[in-house]
Formats: sequence, C-alpha cells, structure tokens
Amino acid sequence: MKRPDWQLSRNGLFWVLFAFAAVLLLHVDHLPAWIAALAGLAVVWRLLEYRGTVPFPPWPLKAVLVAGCMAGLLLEYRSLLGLEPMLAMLMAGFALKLLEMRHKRDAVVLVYLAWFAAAVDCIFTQQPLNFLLILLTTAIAAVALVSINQSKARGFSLGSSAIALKMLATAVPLMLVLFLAVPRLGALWSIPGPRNQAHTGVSETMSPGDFSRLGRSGDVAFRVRFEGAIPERRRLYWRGLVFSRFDGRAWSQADFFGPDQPIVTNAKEAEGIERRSDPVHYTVTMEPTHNRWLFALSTPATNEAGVRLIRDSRLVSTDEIGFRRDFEIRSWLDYALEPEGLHPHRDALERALPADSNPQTVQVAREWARETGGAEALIARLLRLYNDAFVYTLEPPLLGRHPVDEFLWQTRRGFCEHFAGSFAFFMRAAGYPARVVGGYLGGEVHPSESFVTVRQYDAHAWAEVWIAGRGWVQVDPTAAVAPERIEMSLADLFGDEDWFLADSPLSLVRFRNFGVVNWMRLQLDYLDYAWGTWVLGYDKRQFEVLQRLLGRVDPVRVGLLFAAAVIVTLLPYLIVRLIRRRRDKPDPRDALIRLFCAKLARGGLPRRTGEGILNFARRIGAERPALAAEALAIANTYVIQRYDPRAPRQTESLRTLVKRLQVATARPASGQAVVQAAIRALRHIIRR
Amino acid sequence: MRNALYRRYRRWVERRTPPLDECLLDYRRLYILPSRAGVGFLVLVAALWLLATNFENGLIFILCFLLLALFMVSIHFTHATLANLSVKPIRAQSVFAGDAATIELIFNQGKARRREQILLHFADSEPRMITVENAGDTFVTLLARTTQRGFLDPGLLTIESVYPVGLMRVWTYVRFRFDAAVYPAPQDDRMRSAASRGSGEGHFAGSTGSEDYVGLKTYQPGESLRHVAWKQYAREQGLWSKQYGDPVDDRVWVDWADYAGMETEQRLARMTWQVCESAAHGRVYGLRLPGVELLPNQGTAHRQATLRQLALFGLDGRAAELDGTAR
Repeated sequence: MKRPDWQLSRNGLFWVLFAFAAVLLLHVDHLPAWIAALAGLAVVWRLLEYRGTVPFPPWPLKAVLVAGCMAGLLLEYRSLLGLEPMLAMLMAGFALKLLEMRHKRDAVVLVYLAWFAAAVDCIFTQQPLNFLLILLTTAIAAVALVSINQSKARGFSLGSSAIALKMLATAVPLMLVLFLAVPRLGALWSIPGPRNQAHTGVSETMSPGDFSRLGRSGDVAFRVRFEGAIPERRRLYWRGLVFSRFDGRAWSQADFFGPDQPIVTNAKEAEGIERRSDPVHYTVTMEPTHNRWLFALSTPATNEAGVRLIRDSRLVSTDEIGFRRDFEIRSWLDYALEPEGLHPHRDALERALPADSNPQTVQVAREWARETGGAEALIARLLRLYNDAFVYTLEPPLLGRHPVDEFLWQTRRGFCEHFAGSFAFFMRAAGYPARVVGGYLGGEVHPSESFVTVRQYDAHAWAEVWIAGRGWVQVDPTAAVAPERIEMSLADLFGDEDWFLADSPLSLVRFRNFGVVNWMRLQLDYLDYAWGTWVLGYDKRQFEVLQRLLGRVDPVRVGLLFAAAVIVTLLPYLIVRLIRRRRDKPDPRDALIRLFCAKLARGGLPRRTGEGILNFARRIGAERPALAAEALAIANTYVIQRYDPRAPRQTESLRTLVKRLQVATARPASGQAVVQAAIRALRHIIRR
Repeated sequence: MRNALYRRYRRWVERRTPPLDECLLDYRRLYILPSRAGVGFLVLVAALWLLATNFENGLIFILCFLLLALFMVSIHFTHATLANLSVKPIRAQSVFAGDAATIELIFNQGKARRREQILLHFADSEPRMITVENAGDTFVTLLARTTQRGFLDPGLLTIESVYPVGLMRVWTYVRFRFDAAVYPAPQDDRMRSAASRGSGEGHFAGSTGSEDYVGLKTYQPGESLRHVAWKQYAREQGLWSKQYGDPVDDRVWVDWADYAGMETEQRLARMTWQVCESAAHGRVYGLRLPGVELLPNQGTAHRQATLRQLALFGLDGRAAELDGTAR
C-alpha cells in the first residue's frame, strides 16, 4: 500500500535544505573546498529543481557524480579511512542525495545525516560557542523532521518550529538525567582523531625565538585544579618536553619510544626516580594541542589510561591530544632523578656536542671548568654572569650561525630559551650532562575558584644539569637575569609593551587593569573552566556526582533516578491531559439525546445504527403516534442547537423537553429487564 | 508472504474486535510503537553513542541523549495525535456487492487542536489522509470495498498517525456496526425471464412481449425505437412512444420457488437482477422468499426494501434484531 503522502512538501524541502546549509557551515573548515562548493551547488540545484527550472538529474549523471566524488576523495586523502575523509564522503553523499530528494523517506534520511554530521563537528572543536551553533543546527534538523511529517504543502513556514522546539524543551530534563547517569564505558576501540590540525603550544623543537612567539598569544594552554592548597608560584614548573639533542642551533627531543628514552614500563613503579615528599594531587585539563606530551609538575605519576611515564620524569600520552581532556595527576615535588647514574648510552647523549659549533663558548667553558671546582660553583659563576650583564626581553635580536656564541658574548639580550639553551650548552661544553626542559611557568590563580589557568604566554624553558650523587638538578637561568619573572606572570611584567599579546588583539588579558573588565574576564574564564570540567570531562566526575546525588551508587538508585526523570518530564503533560479530559466532556446536548434514545429503547423503540435523529423521530411518529409531536420537537431542537452555528446555545430547552418525555414501557418490567436497566444506567454513569 | 501474514493478523484482530456504534480513542484503545523511521532513528542514536564513547566526547553524549530524549518524548506527542478523539459513522450507502460503499464518519474533539496526518483505511481500500483541527465535528467520507451480501461490514478501520515527528506510529483498529445492506451482486437472468414468460402463468410479462396497445406517452430517451409512434412523428406531432401491455399483467413476482435447484447465493443473485430489471422498467413487482413476502409495489422505497430482504436473507441474529418490524 502506498501512503497517499509520500511526496515531500515544500515546507519540508525548505527546512531540509536549511538544515543542510547549517551543517555545511559548521563543517566548511574541515572539508576540501571542492566538496563544500559541490554541496553549495547541490542546494542551489535542488532549489532550481523545485522551481522547475532544471530537471532532476538523470541516472547517468548521478553515476558520474558519484564516481567523480569518490575519485576526488581518493586523490585528496589517498585513503578513505580516517575522520576527515569519512566526513567528506558523508557530506558528498549528503549533497548528491539532496539532488534526487523527492520522497519523504529520503528527506528523513537526510535529517538523520544532518544530526550525525553535526555531532561529528564536536570532535573537531569543543568550544562552548561552537557547541551552541551545533545545538542550533540540531534544532533546525528537528524542525525539518517535523515539517516533513506535516501535511500542508505550504511554502516555507516557521510554524513547524513551534512543535519541534516544544518537543526539544520537553526532552531537555530527560537528556540531563541521561547525561548524568548513563555510565560511560571509555573508548571501545581506538579511532583516529582529526588529522591536519595545527599543533599548538610548545613545539617539538626549540630554537631561539620559538618561546618569544608564544608570548604573543593569550590562548589558554591548560587549566589545573589542585586538591588542597596551590603550591607556591615558584614551584609551578609545568614540565612537558625535555630537549636532549642539540644540532648547533635547535634543541630537539630524544625519541620517546626509541632506544634513547625507554619508557618506564609501568607508570606506578618509577625506575630511577626517588620520591621523597607526600604527593600533590591535581587535575590538568588540557586544551587540544595535537601533540602527545602532557604538562605536569616534576616528578609526576598518573593512573590515566593511555598515559606513560618516561624516564626523564614526564608524562606522554600514547595518542595525540585532540580534544580537551582531563588528566588526574599526582606529583612529588621533592625528588631525585637518576641519582645513581645514567645509562652509558644516555650519558653520551646528554653530553653530546655538535662538532664545530659555538667554538668560543666551548673554549670559555673548558677554561671555567678548570678554574672553578665542582658543578655547583660553575653554575653559580655562570648565573652571576647572566645577572650582571644580560637583559631579559621578548624582542631579542636575531642570531647567526653560532647562536650561543653570539648570545653569550655579543648581543646578551634574550628570552628564556636563549638563557636555557646557552646554559645547557655551556654546561655540556664544561663536561656535565645537561639538557633543556620546556613547558610553562606559573599561571593565573583564579581569585575565587581554586584553579590555575596557564596561557600560551606562560611558556617557559629552563635547564637541568646532572650532578653526581644529586642526579638531575633543575636550574632556571632566567631567574638569574629576571628574578621577577618567576614571581610574576609575563602579563604583569611586560603587559604594557606592544609585542605582548600581539597575536591576540582582543584578548581580555589586555584589559586586566580595568576592574569590571577584569572581573568579567575572570568569570568567563571560570565558565570556560567549568565547561571543561563538568561538560567535556564529566566522565571523570560522574561517579562522584552520582554519589553526592544519590548517597550511594547502585543500580536501584540509578534506576529510581531515571524513573524520577521520566515522571518529572511527563508530569506537566499528564496534568494537562487530566485537565483537558475534564474539559473534553461530551457535548451536553449529545448526552441528552442519548438519554432520549435510552428512554425510547426502554419503551421498545431502539434507535437503529446509522439512523439519523430526524428519521428516528419520524419512525417514532409512525409507530407511536402519541409521541410524534414530542419526538419531533426534541429532534428538531437538537439538530438546530447542535448543527446550526447561528443558533443560541440553549441546552436548557432541550433538557426540559427530554426530561418531560414519558414513554410507556412496552413490556412489564421483569426481573431481568430491571437488572439490565440498572446495568445500562450504571454504564451511562461511568461513561460520563 | 508478508502480506498474507498481515492479512491473517488483521483477521485475528477482527475476530476480537466487537463492532461498535461509536468509539472514543482513549489510551485503552491506542497502540503505539516505533515506526520504521523510528527504528532508523534508534540506529542513529546508537551510532552517536558509539561515536561519543569512542572519542570520549561529552558533547556528542549530550546530542546523543538529547535525541534519545526526543525519541521518548515523541511517544507522548504522537499518542496525543489520536488520543481523546471520538469517531462515529453517521451514514453509509447501500450498494451491490463488489461496489464501493460510501461511508461518512464524524471525528469529534472537545477543544480545537491540530491533529494532522491521520491515515484512515479499511483492509483493502485506498488510504485517506485527514487533518482534524476544529473543535466539534469533522466530517470525513470514506470508500469501502464490499465483497458479499449482508450488512455492510467493511471490517477493521485502521486509524493511524505518525505525526508530528514520524518516529512513532500510533494506531487503533475499530470496527463499526452499519445498518446499510450490501445487496447481492446481480446476475444476468435474461434466459429465465424469457422462459418464465413462456409459461403463461402471468408471473412475469416483458414489456416487449405485450400485444395490447394501451396508448401514447412522451418518448423518453433510451426507450426502444420500435415503440416510437412514427405516424404521429411524421405528422409532426412530436415524438411519442406507444405503450403496450396490461398493467395487471405487469404484476411480477420475483419468487424464490422459481429458482429451485440452484444454490442460495445463485438464486439471490438472479432474483436481484430481476428486481433491478423490473424496477428499471417501471413494473410493479413483489418478492417471495421463504418466510417473507413483499406485496407487489413500485418506487425507490420498495426497491430498497426488496433488495434489503435479498441482501439479508438467511443471515442470523442481527437481521431479526434490526428488522423485527419489517418481517
């Protein structure tokens, strides 16, 4: 059986096109330009089809389009596996399906695809504002679904949105409970995240100028919430990268998984790391960096799945961090790192000097090593030199072929990476294993909520020297030249200079000296933090929240919570229904006519099925002439009252007529008849 | 195969659905289950859940649960499309078996409320889509196919809707009691009519066979050209037709006994044909069935009464109950 309404209405068509356009806008950044153009063209084509200007594409054209799209995607991505090719394929299919959409069925499939594509956008970005757009798109798709199922083939109408929005609003409480209580399983299998995303934050290599570039950005790098007091600012060295290799110009990391840096097999038992104090517990909410390293205080440990501890005292995720994600970490701030000595292979790595690099520095370092006894004294002497003669600036002069030489003996103006790099190089030249550590320093402590926001301009580099018996010792040469940098943020230090936040012209950090703006900035910051903690990272907190909500988490209580949600959702609906049912009482005139028929039925004159009331009255007149006048009067009054819209509403006259009617019972009431009459009367009462 | 199963299912339901005069679609009468689109929607929700779980993405969870909640909420919205609507047949046409009977229904709701996309269909007939909007009555006309004589019983009327989101299908089966009769399908009985004329018993007299000229009558289009009074026409007195036959001789009995040896339905079909023929030729005819005798008469009411007797002949209980006076 073909339903009489298989064809898509105009209103439905327009809303589906609208939903598709919304999805396209969401994804326009993640699609190859030609797919976006094709999709835009499909919308226009479908509109022209609707106007009758162009025909529906014949099947050979469709086949060519499909084949062309597949070929294009293969050329573009090489493989169709992966998030972006899948998305591009989805959108291309969406666009082609649009061209031939004529049935309601097709339109429904497209609405489902729109929902799915909107959800995929959440993988690319998790910003609250963007999510609002996604929700808007979801709502538009819901309106499209309603408009498809509506009958009137009107043009584009906003009327459909009322029902859809009402339904969505009704659905929200239920959604909240589902979100709160449905258990999260954790990834079932690993899926590649978005590729081709720009890596942000501290990068894999460090050459002069890298960190000063980060000073130009006010973006959030990560946020940290401590359990208990926040450690002093000068201890907040967020360690993320360790640069052990130097090629004469740039520092780079040793391979994570190569022979250089074997991973500590188990994050819990830390080989070569001595933990001395009680640990500090905190949660780091990482912004997506599309890199693998985490930022933590040394020396860290964690139970997070997919996170490894490596020998140089830092945490690395096995997958790129493509989404904002929470990591629960604990750190022992007093520690010793490899005090027993280095593995010979690594010992060589940490001492290595490129040939013919920075000869002047190498020479001076050797001299100083001879003159000064012991590593500590040598370090002190070098730091004194920095303190006496160097300038800390975010606009250092450019350096040439031997950057360390030029920096140490000529320009003497630099940013943290210049100091850390030259220091490590100098110590290596003097014969000590040394390396550069990259990460962030400090962060802004939110005044009312106890969390720390670390921004890109907090990026910092410092050094580590290995001293026999003590292990790796952290040295921050920047502290020697600009001790205030350790105690203050860059914003406080350089906030008035032009280059600070040059890449974030609208950053509110700029206006932190205006009371209201600063207050607003902190509130927004908190909102963003709460978003990350309670929405994006809720899976970490689910158990805790449920426990606080329910007292104990067991299936019965969670079930009761669901039941409560369903009842709360339905309650307004049920109340409305009850009220409406009371209001929906049958027309009193109908009830009177039923009474009239019942009286006559008792008198042996049942009304036939399908017999009109006037015909019935005439038949009564024919069979019981005594009742003719009354029956006709009742029937006429009823018909006029009930069906003539101009007639005044006078139920009373009908009531009097019916009540007055006396019908002689045909047979004397036998016992059975009395019982039957009683049952009929009861049923009558119940029905009312 | 599927259709056969569905038909069996409908018959099973039909046996369990007593016919009614009027029906209020309350929660006890309405069934609701996900539609095919609704099942697809659940697949979408499942896909979103997988996506959310694998990417550990809280936002996709929100969307996933929002859609799931929408699905659950749609149960109530779709149910409300039919809930508390009352349906009552007001008139049905009597037809010959095999023809489509027109049935008029009233949908009634207490308060104005837009209920769109309500689909109505009997087992085999074309579905019809209606919208109920205003407070009070909405009149709807349906066609029902008929197959056998008796009281009009088009079987189960399916009333269903997927409005407003198409994820749920709410439906009910109702069966109405109709007073209208389905007459037996007439079967051509010309052979017998010739034979019975030949018997000379005066039971039947064909208009062409009568020899006695009675007078002239204005020619009606469709009358045989052989009866045209050509003489008068030639005198330019207009077109007249000659009337033959004796009115007394035109009293025809359509008699059960004439068809002895045939099956009941065969007999009734042929008798129906005779009644129709007689009525069409303006004869005076009567009907004899075992236990029933309608005296010869003419006119629409008589024709209907006769056909009704033929339609309801030999059917049990209800005929007696409804037509106690007619017998």
